[in-house]
Amino acid sequence: MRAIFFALLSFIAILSILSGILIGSVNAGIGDLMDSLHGKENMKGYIILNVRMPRTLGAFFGGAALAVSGLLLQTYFRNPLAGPYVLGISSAAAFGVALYVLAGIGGGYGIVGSAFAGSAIATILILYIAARVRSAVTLLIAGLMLGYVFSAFERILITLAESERVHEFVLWTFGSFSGTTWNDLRAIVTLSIPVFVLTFLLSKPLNAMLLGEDYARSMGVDIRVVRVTVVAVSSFLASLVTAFSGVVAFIGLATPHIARLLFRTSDHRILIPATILLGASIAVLCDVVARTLLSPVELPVSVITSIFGAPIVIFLVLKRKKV
Amino acid sequence: MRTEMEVKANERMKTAELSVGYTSEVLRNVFLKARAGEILGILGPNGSGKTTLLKTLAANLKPLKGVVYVESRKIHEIKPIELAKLLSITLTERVDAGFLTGFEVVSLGRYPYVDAFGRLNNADVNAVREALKLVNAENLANKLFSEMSDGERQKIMIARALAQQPRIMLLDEPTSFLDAKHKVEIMLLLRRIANEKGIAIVLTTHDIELALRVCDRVVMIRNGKIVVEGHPEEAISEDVVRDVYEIGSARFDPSIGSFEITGRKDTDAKVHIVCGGGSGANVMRLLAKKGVPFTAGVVHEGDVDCCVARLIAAKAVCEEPYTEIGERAFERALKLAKISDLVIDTGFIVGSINRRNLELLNSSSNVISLRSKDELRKLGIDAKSIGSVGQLLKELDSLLLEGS
Repeated sequence: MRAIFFALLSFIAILSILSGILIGSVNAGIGDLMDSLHGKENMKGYIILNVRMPRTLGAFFGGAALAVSGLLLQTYFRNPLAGPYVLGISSAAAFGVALYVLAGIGGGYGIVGSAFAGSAIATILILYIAARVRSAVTLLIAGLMLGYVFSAFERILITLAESERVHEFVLWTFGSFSGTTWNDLRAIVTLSIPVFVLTFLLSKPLNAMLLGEDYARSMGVDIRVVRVTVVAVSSFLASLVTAFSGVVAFIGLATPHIARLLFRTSDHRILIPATILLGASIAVLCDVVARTLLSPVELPVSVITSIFGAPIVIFLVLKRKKV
Repeated sequence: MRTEMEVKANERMKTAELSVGYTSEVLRNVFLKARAGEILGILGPNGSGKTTLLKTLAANLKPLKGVVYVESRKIHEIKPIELAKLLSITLTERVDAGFLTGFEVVSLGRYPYVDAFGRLNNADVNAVREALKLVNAENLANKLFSEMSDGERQKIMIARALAQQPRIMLLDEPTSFLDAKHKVEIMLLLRRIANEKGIAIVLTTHDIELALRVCDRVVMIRNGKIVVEGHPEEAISEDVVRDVYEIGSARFDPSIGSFEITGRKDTDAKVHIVCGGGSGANVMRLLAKKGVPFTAGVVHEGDVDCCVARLIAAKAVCEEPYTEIGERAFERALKLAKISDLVIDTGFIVGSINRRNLELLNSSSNVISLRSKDELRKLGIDAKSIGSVGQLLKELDSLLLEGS
C-alpha cells in the first residue's frame, strides 16, 4: 500500500517538474524540451534551459526543504500549527533584507546574502536558547517573541523608508521562485540534500519524540542533542529557502499534515521521504499556477500556497485530526 | 528469615536523604526502597510533590540534595541509554501519538535496544508481543493510538514501559482519569507485572483505597516530608488518613478500605436503623448522603454494618462479636429506637446471636421494613413493608416534612 503511494508521489513529482518546465506564457512541448536538452539553440530552448528549469527545480527543492522543516518543528513541538517560521526565521530574514533594501546597510551578497545573514542571527539566538531551556514550550514562546522583535525593527525601517523601496521590499516578502539561477540552484541542492539525509537519520529519535520530551528522555534519547539538531536543521532549511525565494507561506505547515493523512502514519521513516516528495510537488505546481493564472501578470507564489493551504488547515481543525 | 544479602539483592532502587523540587524544596529527607516484585505506593494529596519525586527518581529532574541509587549505582552516573534498560516511566500527561498503532507505540519502548534506524529484530518483536499480551492489549496492536479510549491508551503506555524490559517501573497516578472497569484492570495488571516479572514498581497515587489494595508498602507524604512508611495494612490508619488528607466530612475505615461520608450529628437523630450482616451499610450511606441524622444498632463488631455505623451514624450500639445481644446493648438500642420518629428494618438475616433485634423491632412503633409482607408475617414483626429504595426515600421525605 505504502509502496503504491510512494510510486504515485514520485510520478506526481516528475509530472510537476515537466509541467513547470513546459507550461507558461510561452508554451512548450516535450519535443522542445528534448531539443533544448540536445543543445539545439532557439528562443524556447533558452527559456526552458535558463529560466524555467532552474526556477522549477528551485521550487522543487525549496518546497521539499520547507516541508521537512515544518515536519521537524511540528514533531518537536508536538503542535500541529508549527511551521518553518515559528522560531522567527522569516522575520529575521525579512529584517536582514529590510536593512539592505530599505536602509542600504550590509548586503555584500545582495538580497540573498542579507536575508541569509538575518536568519543566521536568529538561528544562533534560538540555538543559544534551545541549549538552555528545559522544555519545548519555553523554546516555542522564545521563538515567537524573537519573531515579534525582528518584525518590530523591520517596521521601523519600513516607516522611515522611501515608498519605492518599500514596494520592492514588500514584493520580496511575498515570496517567489522566479529569478532562481543555475548558480543559486547549485547552492540550494548541495546544501539541502545532505540535510535531508541527516534528517532521515534522525527518524528514530524523532519517532520517540512523538510521545513528548519526558518519555523520550526516559527511553534514552538525548533530548538536548535532538532539540539543538532539530532547531538547527529546520532553521537552516527555512533560511536557505527564504534567502533565495523570500517568505513562502503554508507549504511547511500544510504538507506534513497531508503526508500524515495520506499514509496514516506518524513514523518519520515514511513521513520524511513523503513530505519531501509532496512539498516539492506542491511548490512546483503552485508556482506554475501562480505564473499562469493571470498571465502575463505573475502572482506571488504565497498567494497560491495560502489559498491552497488554508482550506486544508481549516479542514484539519474542523475534523480534529490528531497529528 | 531472609539473610541481609538476599534482601540487598532484591533492592532495586533506594534513595538517601533525598530532597526534591524545581527551584525550592518540595520534599525533603526522603528515604525510599523499592524491592523486586513489590509495589511501593507514594501516597499524598494532590500537590504534595509526588510527581516531582517520581521525576527525580526517573532522573528527569536533578535532586536538590541526596542521591537516587538504581541497583546500588548512583543514577546520574548511569548513561541514559543504559538507564532506559533498567528503568521505565509512565506519566499522567495525556500523550497524543497520532497516527501510530498500538504496536508501534509499544515498540518505541525498544528504543534502547534497536539499531540506529529503529528496526526491530525478532527478539524486539517478541518483547513487544509479550508486553502487549501481559497487559491484555493484543487486540489493540493494529488500532491507531489516536482512536483509543483513555483506558486503552494507558494499557498501551504500560506495555511500552514493559517493552523496555526494565528492572524498575515508575508510574505516576496510573489510574487517574480511568473509569471503574479500567481502574480495576490496571490495578490487577500492575500486580501481575510485579508478581510474574519480579519488577519493582513505584507508583504515586492519591487514591488510598487503591494503595491499600495493590501496594506492598506505602509512604505517605504531607507538608514536604514522609509522615508514615510501612505495610499499607498498618500504615494506613484512620488517624493518618485524616491527618494527611485533612478531611472533616468523610471518614476512613482501614478494615473496609474506603471512605464514608459522615452523617449529620448536629441535630437529634430521627431515624433508627436495625441492621446487621451487611444489610444496612447502603441504607446508612443513603441517609448520610441525604443528610438525615440517624442512629443504628444493635450491630456486632466486625460486621461491615458496624464499621459503617461507627463512621457515619450519630450513635451506634455495638455488641461483642459472635455473642448474643446482651441486656445493656439491647436497652441502649431500645432507647434510641423509642426516641426516633422512624425505625428502619433493613431485612437482616436472623440468627441465634441477633435474635433480640426482632424483639427490638417489635418493641418499637412506626417501623418500616425492607422485607416482604410474607416474611414479616412469618417473623411476626409488625411493620410496613416497602419494596424499594425509592419508596424508602418517599417515607423519609414525608418524615422530614412533618419535622419542619
